[in-house]
This record gives sequence, C-alpha cells and structure tokens, in this order.
Amino acid sequence: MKIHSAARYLPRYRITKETIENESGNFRPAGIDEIAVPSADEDSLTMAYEAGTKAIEAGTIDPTTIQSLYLATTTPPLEEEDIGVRLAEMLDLPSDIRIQTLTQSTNGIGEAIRTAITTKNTALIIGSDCPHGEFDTVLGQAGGAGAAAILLEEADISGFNDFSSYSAVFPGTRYRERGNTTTQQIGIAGYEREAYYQTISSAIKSLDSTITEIDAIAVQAPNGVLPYRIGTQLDIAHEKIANGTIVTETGDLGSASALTGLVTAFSKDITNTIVCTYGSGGTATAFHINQAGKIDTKITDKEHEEIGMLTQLRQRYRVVSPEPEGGGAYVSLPSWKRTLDQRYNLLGGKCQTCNELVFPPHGACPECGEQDEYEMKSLATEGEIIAITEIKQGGAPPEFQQFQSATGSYASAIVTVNGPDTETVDIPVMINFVDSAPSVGDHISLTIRRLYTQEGIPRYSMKGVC
Amino acid sequence: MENAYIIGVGETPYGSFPDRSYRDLFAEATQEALDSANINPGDIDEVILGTLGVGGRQIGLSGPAASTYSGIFDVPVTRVENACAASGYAVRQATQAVRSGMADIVLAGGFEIMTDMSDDVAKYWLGVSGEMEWERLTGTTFAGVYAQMASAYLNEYDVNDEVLSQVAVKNHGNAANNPDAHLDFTCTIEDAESAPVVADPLTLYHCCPTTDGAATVIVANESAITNPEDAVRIAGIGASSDYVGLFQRESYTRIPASEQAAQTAYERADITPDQLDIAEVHDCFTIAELLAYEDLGFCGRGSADDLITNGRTNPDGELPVNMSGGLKAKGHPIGATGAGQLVELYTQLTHQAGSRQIDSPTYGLAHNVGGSGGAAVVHILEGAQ
Repeated sequence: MKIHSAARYLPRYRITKETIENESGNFRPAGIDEIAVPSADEDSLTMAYEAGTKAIEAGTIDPTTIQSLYLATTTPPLEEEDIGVRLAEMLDLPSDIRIQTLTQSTNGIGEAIRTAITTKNTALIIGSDCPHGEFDTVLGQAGGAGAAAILLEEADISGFNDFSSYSAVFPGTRYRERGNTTTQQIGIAGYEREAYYQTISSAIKSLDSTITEIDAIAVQAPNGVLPYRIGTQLDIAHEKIANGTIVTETGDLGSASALTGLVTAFSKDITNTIVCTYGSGGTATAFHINQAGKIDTKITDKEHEEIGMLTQLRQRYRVVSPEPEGGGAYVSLPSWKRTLDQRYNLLGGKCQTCNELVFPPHGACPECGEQDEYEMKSLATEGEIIAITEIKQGGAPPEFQQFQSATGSYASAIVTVNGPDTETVDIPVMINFVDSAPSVGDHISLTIRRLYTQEGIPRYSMKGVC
Repeated sequence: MENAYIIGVGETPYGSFPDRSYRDLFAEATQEALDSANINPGDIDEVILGTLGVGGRQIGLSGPAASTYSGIFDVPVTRVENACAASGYAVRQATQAVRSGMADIVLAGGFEIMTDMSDDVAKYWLGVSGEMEWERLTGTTFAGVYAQMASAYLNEYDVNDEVLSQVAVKNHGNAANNPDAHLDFTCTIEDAESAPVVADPLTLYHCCPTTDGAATVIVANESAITNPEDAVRIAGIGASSDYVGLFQRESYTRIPASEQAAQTAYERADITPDQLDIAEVHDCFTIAELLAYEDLGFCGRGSADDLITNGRTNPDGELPVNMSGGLKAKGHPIGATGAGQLVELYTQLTHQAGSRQIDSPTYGLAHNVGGSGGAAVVHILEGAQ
C-alpha cells in the first residue's frame, strides 16, 4: 500500500510557554515551547477538512475514486452523530464511500491506518484534534490543535513494510467522563509513563523491521520529552525523533499527534520512517513505512500569529457568555441541508437559457427569468471584496454574538468570485480576519469553517479567512 | 379614476414607551386622525395597517386586534407586511381602494413596539426582514448591510465618510424642533464620528433608534372633503421590489426599487424632482439618505455629498429633507414609519408644522424602503393651492 500524498494543517494562532507562565503563574507540560490555538470558528472537523482537501490537492488521485474515509479525533464537535459524513460531503467524496470515525482514544488514528492497509482501498486517513482540558492541568495547558492527512493508493502496497499493535490495560491515563467536555489524567506520573513506554516500545519492538535503519520516528507526543525517552529506550538517535516530532511547536495534538509528525518527516523528503500511535487504555500501533521516492506533501500552516492568554481563552470560548435567548431568525435544518452544495462546495448555477452565472442557483434566473434551469458549476474559492463592513460589539445578530465576543470583531462582505469561464458572480461571505478587516478591492480566500450552532447542531460553511 | 386625498392624520409621539401597548398607541393615532378629519369611527369603510410584529406580538390578525381596540367595527381590515415599508404600502393600498371606488374613506397606518424587550430579542427581530439563508448568515443585521453599501459607495465615488455624520447632524437638528421626535437633541460632527462603531463605517449616530409609535392617515375621495384647505391630494404613487439580499442586486451603490418607485411616482404626479418643496426620505442609516438623494433624482450619481455639504437639504435649503428628523432622529417604529412620513408632509403642506414649518410648500415626497431595498414606495403629495 503506497502513500500517494499527504498534508498537514496547523492553525495560525500560537501562545508561547513564556506567555502562559507569565500570565497564569506556571506552565507544566515538559518540552513544549508553543501551543497552536484553534481560531474561534475552527474545530476538529474544519481542521480535518483543511488537511484532507490539501492531501487530495497534493496528489493526482481523482477524489471520486476514494473508497474509504477515516477520521480520528478525540474532540468531535458532537458526542454522537458521525461527523465523518459531513467531512465526506465537504471533501466532495462519493456517496458510496466507507466512513469510519474513531473517537475513543488518541490511538484511533493508528487503528484507522491499520484498517486501511488491511482493507486495501484507496483511502483518505485524517487525524485531527484539539485536546481540551482544564487550564490549570498539564493536559489543559499542553492541548494544541492541528490535523494531518494521508491518501493511500489502492493498487500499490509497496509503502507499508510492516505493522504491529500492542495493548495492555492502563485505565485513567487519559480519559473524559461521560457528559464532561474536558479530558483528564489521573495524575500518577510513574503509572502514566509506564503505560506510554510499555505500549509504544512493545509495539515498535514487535515490528520485523530493523529500526536502527529508519530516518525518522513519529511517535505519539503528549509532550516534548516522552518521544525522546522512547528514542533512548530503543536506541534511536534523537535527531531521528526530531525528524518526526513537532510537539515542541504545537502542543499536544491528540489523535493528530503522530500523523502530523509523520507528514512533517515526509515534507523533509524522509520516507523511511516508523510511526507509532498511542492512546490511553492503553494501546499502541506501529508501522514501518519505507517508500521509494518522494511523497507529495502539502504543509498548509498559515503565518503564525502570537497571542496572549486572554485572546487564547476568548478564541476557545472559555470567557465568552453563552448565546443569548431570542427567536425570530430561523433557518430549519432541512432548509440548511438544501444549501450544502453551496456552503461546502461553492456550486453556482449556469442558466441553461441565457448562460448567466447565478448564486445561489435557485429560483428564477435574475437575467432572463427562467425557472430553476441551472447547470451546476464550481466557483473559485477566492475573490475580490466589493462591499464590506466590520461587525463589532453590538453589531452582531444574537446567533453570532458569541463568535464576535470570541474574535473581537469579524467582517460581513460581498465577494466577486470567478466561475469556470470568464463570468463572475457575487456571493455573501463572513470573514474571520486576524489583524484588521480587509477593504473593498482586497482579495480573500475562502475555506470551510464553523458558522454557527442552532438547536445544538454546529453548522459549517465557506467563509473568508485572512 | 377618482382622485384620492389625505384629509386627516394622527401620530403618537415617537420614543420608548414600554408601559404602553401597540393597540393603545394605534388607538391614540387613530383618534387624532379622526379628529383631524372631523369624522367618526363609523365613517371608516376600511382599515389597512402595517406592522412587523417585532417581539412576536399578535403576528396573526394584528389588524383587527388594533382596529377593534380603536372602536372601528364591522369593516374589512388588512395587515400589510413589507418590513419597514409596511405602512407606506398600507397607504398605497388605501389609495387604490379609494380610487377604485371600493371605499370612500380608508384609515391607513401602522404601529410598532420595539423597546419592551431585551436588545438581543430586538436584534433577532430586526434581522427577520433581511435575507435569512445567506445574507444574515454572514453575521449581519441591517446596520451591516447598509454599512456594506456605504463601503461600496464611498469607495466608488471617493467620498469622505464625514458625509455620513453631516446627515446625522442635519436630522438631529431637525428633530430638536420636533416635540414628538424620539431623539430630539442636536449633535455635532465630532459626536457622530467619535460614537462607538456599530458596523464600520457606521457609528451609533449614523443609525436610527428602535422606537415605539403609531401613525395614521385618512385617505378619502373628493366627496369626503369638508375643508378643502386641509385636504392634500395624493398626486402620484410609485412602488417597486427587488431581491431581499443585497448581494443579489444589480448595484450596491443605489437602491433600484427606490429609483423605479420614484420614476413611477413622478410620472403619475406629472412633476419633476425640481418641483418638490419638501421630502421625507428613508434614512434608517445616514448612508441611506445619501443614496435616496440620488435614487429619487434630487442630484446626479455620486453627487449626494454636494447636497448635504452645501446645505441644500437643510431647512433653509432649496429642498428641505427630513424636517421631522427622519428615521434617524424622529425615530423608526417599523410599522408606523411610512405613514409617519406622510403625517409630516401633510402637516407641512397644510401649514400646521409650527416652528419647523417651511415656506409655502406645494409638492412633498415621501420615500419608504423595506429592509435594505427589497421593497420601496414613493408618495408625492400636493397641497391645496
């Protein structure tokens, strides 16, 4: 089984160890310098979309031929409901695709890879996570955000040389109580270390491969020290650990941890690697990948933006009031569902009578008045701002008030985007910006982010991000 | 077709009256109109009124709920809904009823209560006339949509955004002369520019308030006129519609429905814009007054700043605009606003406007917009010579 292409996504916000230390009195995770912080409209699903779409773009496989989609995350936006289905829709994958969403353990990503290898399908495997703990805990301080994806080719099985799994019961090393949103650890250091060392070392040792010959090892990294201890135990040079480890710059990436490390190694053109995932419980899964040639890899990290403690807490909705009560403006779920081709895939319509490009492609053609005779056309996910306003305190509708509080302000704009030919069409866009709001005439890129939540169900849509 | 006239008007003060009901306000405006026209409730053949029902009060059958409370029984009563243009359209419907001969005397008007609820609930309701599935879900209310228009307008014509504040200063100055205005105080350019930003480039002073109030007019045929001096002829009406969402319209720097409505109204009244003596335009946000100058033909495209900067729409200018204070400062009780504009025109054209009376007006224009331009209606009134 060959890895055809790969991608990594990290959000742009970073908070440094020093900032947390200065502003909260301590920083307890070992070996971590910076934490990647998700923006207020990012979650494990949107980051999975980012990594997945870029992995597809990096290669040449037609997405309609992908047979399996695996999503591993310990922080799905909903406790129950297969969000993998939404991910498949966002990535425009075929409706007969096999979808597996693994949420019970950070080792879910290892199980996903193992299942994909044994199934021998063309498979997209994505690890995406933003571990969430109380801020005065090691896990709460270490929790970062990121995603990685690999696309496996069905026909070629040359890439994965070897794999193994190991499990040994270690309850309480990392767990979340039923009904609770924060992940905890029992806090017995020696016990937790033993769980980590025993399972990971055993899985790696069970590989048939000669591990001293590999160039990088990407191992589950709850902090920046433990992977190197594994290296010491297995007599692997620290440099090889460093080739597959990014926890120092991102924090703990949960289900995405080992895979982001692996993809990082690919981006350095290192393909003789071991990846070993681990999850509480405890289980570990190791793979030896020794693939000839370069793996097409996209690293889509945005330019870093360093933030302070209060901004981090706001972006994570820790210091934001709940959505206000109200009523009136209501878009039913069936109505919302009818627009998903536009929300996720930005499909406009070309009028069959007069060729006018129309968005949304419903109702009478604005040019010739013909009813609903549109041929669906993909619109460009970037465009020029024609009209814009920055919405600040007091300017947001109630359903967007939390987002406005979390981000400080956002923009609402009309953007002209290109159709498949020379024509353009205007679309309404919410923009999440970092520094200052863009202006009329500026260009903006669009991607899928969480838009708002109604009746407890998060809704996602194309948004402008800059 | 018969001529139609406004023979009497009524209006409550505009403001915040959380202790009053919508029926109570409508009854007060109705009684005032009946007194003004010197008629009785039994003389009314039909009632057409507008309200959005902000807060969710009596959305169904709000017409009869208000008319019976006002002592008008056993006649057809219809509620018209066209967002902020509801009662402008109600008067248009009343005029149609009179001109067609179906009715001799029709009570038209509207009401709204907007201040007896939390800001959050009010904001939900203010958004319900925006385009729900796309526009609102970019996180915007009407302030944001008009701010988008302002961004496009200021950019296209390279106009300094101080003009937005100049409109606020003029209309607050006018409202200070109107004892029934909601925001009856003056403001300076500095006040307007330094106010909190609601939706950039619009500050708080560039936005109308949420207001409680009711307004009514009595529309009648010639046979109902007892005092010709107090009858104002409805010389021409135009109305039009467009996409509810701004992003689907052909322009973001004008409101096509307003343009079309005005063109029809001028044609039917057989006058040109330069014959107007006074206008009440839909200035829910100050950018809207500037767009109205151009959409209504008061000036060419991109030259609205010349009118406001040179005082040509001031009380002593060649075309005083929003002598009442406009939506901006008189207030904007959604369902009452369109009728309220006609109350001001009637008052001016019958020389009853007291300290804010302008000299010898003959023609007045009222411009009432629903949402950000999904509906518009323009009335041209002609006072007794």
